[in-house]
Amino acid sequence: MKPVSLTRHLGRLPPALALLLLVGSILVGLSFVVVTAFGYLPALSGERPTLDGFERLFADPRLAPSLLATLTAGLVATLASFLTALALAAGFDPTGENGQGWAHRLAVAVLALPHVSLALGLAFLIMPSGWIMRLIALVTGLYPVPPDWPLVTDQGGVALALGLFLKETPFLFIATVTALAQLKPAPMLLMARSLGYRNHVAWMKVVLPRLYPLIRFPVLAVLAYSLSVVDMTLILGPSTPTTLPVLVLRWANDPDLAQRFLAAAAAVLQLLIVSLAILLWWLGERAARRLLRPWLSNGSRAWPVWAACLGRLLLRGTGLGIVAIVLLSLLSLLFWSVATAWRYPDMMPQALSLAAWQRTGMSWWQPLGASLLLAGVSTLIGTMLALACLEHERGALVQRAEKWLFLPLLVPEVSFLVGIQVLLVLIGLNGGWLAVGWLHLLFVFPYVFLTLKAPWRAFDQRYEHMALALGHSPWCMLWQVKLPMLRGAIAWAAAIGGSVSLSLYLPTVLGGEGRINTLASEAVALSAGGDRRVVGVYGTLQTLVAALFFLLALLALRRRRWRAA
Amino acid sequence: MTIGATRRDLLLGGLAFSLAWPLAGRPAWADPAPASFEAAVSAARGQTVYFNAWGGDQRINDYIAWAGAEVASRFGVTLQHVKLTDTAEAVTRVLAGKIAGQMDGGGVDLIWINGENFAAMKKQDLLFGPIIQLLPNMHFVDPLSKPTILSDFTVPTDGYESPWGMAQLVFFHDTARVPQPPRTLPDLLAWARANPGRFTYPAPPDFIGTTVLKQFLLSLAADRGPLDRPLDPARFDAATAPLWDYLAELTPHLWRGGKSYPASSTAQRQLLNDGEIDISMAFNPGDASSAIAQGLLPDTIRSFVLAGGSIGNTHFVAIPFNAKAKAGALVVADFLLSPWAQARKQNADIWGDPTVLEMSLLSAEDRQLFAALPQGVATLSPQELGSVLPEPHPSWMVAIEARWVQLYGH
Repeated sequence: MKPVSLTRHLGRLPPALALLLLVGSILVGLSFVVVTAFGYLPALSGERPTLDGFERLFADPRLAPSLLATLTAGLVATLASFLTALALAAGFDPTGENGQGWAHRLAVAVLALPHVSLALGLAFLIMPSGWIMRLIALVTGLYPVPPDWPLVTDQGGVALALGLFLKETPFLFIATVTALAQLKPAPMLLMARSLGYRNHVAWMKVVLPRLYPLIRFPVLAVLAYSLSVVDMTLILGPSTPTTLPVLVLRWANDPDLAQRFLAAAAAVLQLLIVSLAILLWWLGERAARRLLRPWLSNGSRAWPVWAACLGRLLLRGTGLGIVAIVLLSLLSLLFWSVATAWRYPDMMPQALSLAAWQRTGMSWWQPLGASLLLAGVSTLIGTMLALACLEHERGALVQRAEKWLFLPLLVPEVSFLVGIQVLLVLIGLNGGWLAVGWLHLLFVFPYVFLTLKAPWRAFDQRYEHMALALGHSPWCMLWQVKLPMLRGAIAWAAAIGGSVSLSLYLPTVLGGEGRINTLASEAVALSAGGDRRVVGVYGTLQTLVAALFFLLALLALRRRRWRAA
Repeated sequence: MTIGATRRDLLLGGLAFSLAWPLAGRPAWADPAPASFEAAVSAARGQTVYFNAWGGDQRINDYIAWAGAEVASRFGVTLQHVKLTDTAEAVTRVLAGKIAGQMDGGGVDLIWINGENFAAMKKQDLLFGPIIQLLPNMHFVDPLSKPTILSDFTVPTDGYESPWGMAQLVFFHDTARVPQPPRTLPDLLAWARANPGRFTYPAPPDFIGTTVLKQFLLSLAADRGPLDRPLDPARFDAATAPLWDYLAELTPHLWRGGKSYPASSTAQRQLLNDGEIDISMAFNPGDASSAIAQGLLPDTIRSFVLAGGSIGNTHFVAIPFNAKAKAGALVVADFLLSPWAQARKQNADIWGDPTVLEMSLLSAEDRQLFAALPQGVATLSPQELGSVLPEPHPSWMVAIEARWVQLYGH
């Protein structure tokens, strides 16, 4: 066998493996869920297909309000973060050339924050006895006791939508800027401006129509995520009744096994809701295109003064607002973790002490270790798999398979994880490290792949050709030329993979069955009540670990630049 | 047993009965099969016991972590606390194991349990046992003075669960805002009308939330007879009508107008600490003192109970039929029953959960452990706590929860 055909042969392996891992797991999980939803689960003496599960689901009085809250929170959060991210990108980095600017860095910092930590901090910030209300009480002298207003865990899901908005806007901002860098719109803008279009008009008329297709996928991923989120909902979302994904989780854990059928039916409904929302978004896209087309092509250069002023105001306000809220949320977690007591209407804790850190010291090192281990292993495997896929991407398999690799970001996680949980029990892997590591990899891999894709494709192939022409083997070329040159990108992707793993809640809980606890699962469990100081410890710790991941990546980037200089 | 028998005689009779159990149905030991507690102690060394216990309260988590360190040094047993948000999760895990044919080597070794979860596990043969006759420290327990130790929500325990602590529903109020708390249900309604938005209860099926409903029902019911028997659906409406009538009047005056409820009793305690409400409740009479000691509540909080008695029960630990570390689980269960562990648990600075042990059966030294405990500032004396109303049959609880969800849970 000639070496070339050997590598070509082996080259199919990594993408095939990745496909099997991701698509296989999800399809198996979904098929278990669908079969159970229609009443077939022999172990539970469900042998004939029935619609019982669905009938009970539709008869449940909680369903309608819970669907409404799920949809409003998800759609509002997605739409708001999409529009805001576009505006921020247009305002701060319209050509995508300023990838190291401060807006970009802030966005990455917010993106790196674990969802749970942000939600915990935000909850304290906005609740009726929270920091903002305390300030209002201090200034106005009103409200000797906190007002009875539904500011968090509200039935409409507004607090949840706000939490999602804070987290998704930076994600979409980065996706947009990355897409802009790919689009290289500077010449187009220059041309449009020379034709008399002002900056914003030029951007909207010339850049936006080409930009949107490039960011459609991240937007849909945000939509699917916002409709299916469980961890943030448990902290910020409505509780009586809660959203559909949380109902699925509750029913799946009900001691009455008949509820499994109900859980499966609800998981199928969740899948339908997300599909429906994607369809709705697609229709909205078409409608927007039709509505905007006359304006896009009417040749008008006008940009009303009020729009410009409002735009500038909103832009500054929103950008600043997001950063301020996020910072205050984190600060409140930190303060809580070192507070002795901190009651309404005090702006600051009565006294500071490290008691909570010491008292919980025995408990937090274990989840910390579990978080680090899971993040480390899943990121290592995910990065190697992504590199292998990218190196062999000229193979037809990768080209065709690429879309499928993002399945875990579009399919609501609760829908297939509930099915995988049944599978894990059947094959005896439930509650073990292998199961949790596998589920983490399902989510880490797509993000790592997505992050590595652009720098990998932008790599100048002449280096490869030169190395090969100088007589080096492909492996040698990879190890000595390509990987060192792309080290910064790899470190960055690994940091993102690590922070994804760090923030995973549902895969940890369903795969680990509570026997494997990470900082994320512990923080959510503790947020159900008890002691806000302890919650502060876990939230702060989780934030610090995420910061550490990115710090390490930044160091790798620095070192590369220093060497280059 | 004759009428003139002393309590000690009755107790010995009970013990003899429990010792006779192994003859009737030997515990189904999987590997390894210790026949006595001594055998369990030697088999337990090196085992890891996954203790599935509600993990929503840091004080309890800290106590379990302490117990873990103790059993590790005393018996070489590693205790791993699997923190649950709902005990039902552990029941599901054991059931899922049974469905998948996992008859041994299961992942749940010990469960903190009572009430409907115990009833469900017992009914479906998911428990290992009977176990209590194997535990040396059961000698310090007197089921006659605490009948809920043998009858868990009216369901006979039959030795399948080992008692861990006693519970009785108590309410807390902030004396700085509510000097005179309402002690009857009509007073509570009047108080809620005058102070809208300042009272609530955790959303059932949270167990404290459901307990509040049961307390209301028991306080309002003219005849508790039907509640002690399994639910007769035909009598549900008539038996529970007073409860729903009362809630219909109370609900509009609750926190957030009764449209939303705290997720748990600890979440509600947090609301009390935050000053968002004025009254909270717990199933542990020492909870308020212990929370004050740990800075979780202001020191102006005091406890009270409703006139006419308050609902009480016992909480237990039990071992699933397919537990992997049965010997280790037995050792842990016995350690949790020891006077040393029970006294620490009752300490308001640690947890404040009342002991299941009978003081008169303890040695003078052990009694001293309990006598030396600080009396919490907000803990009621046994006289003030008043009479205990036993729990209704668990089937009622399920039906009441379902109706509540229908009426208020959406």
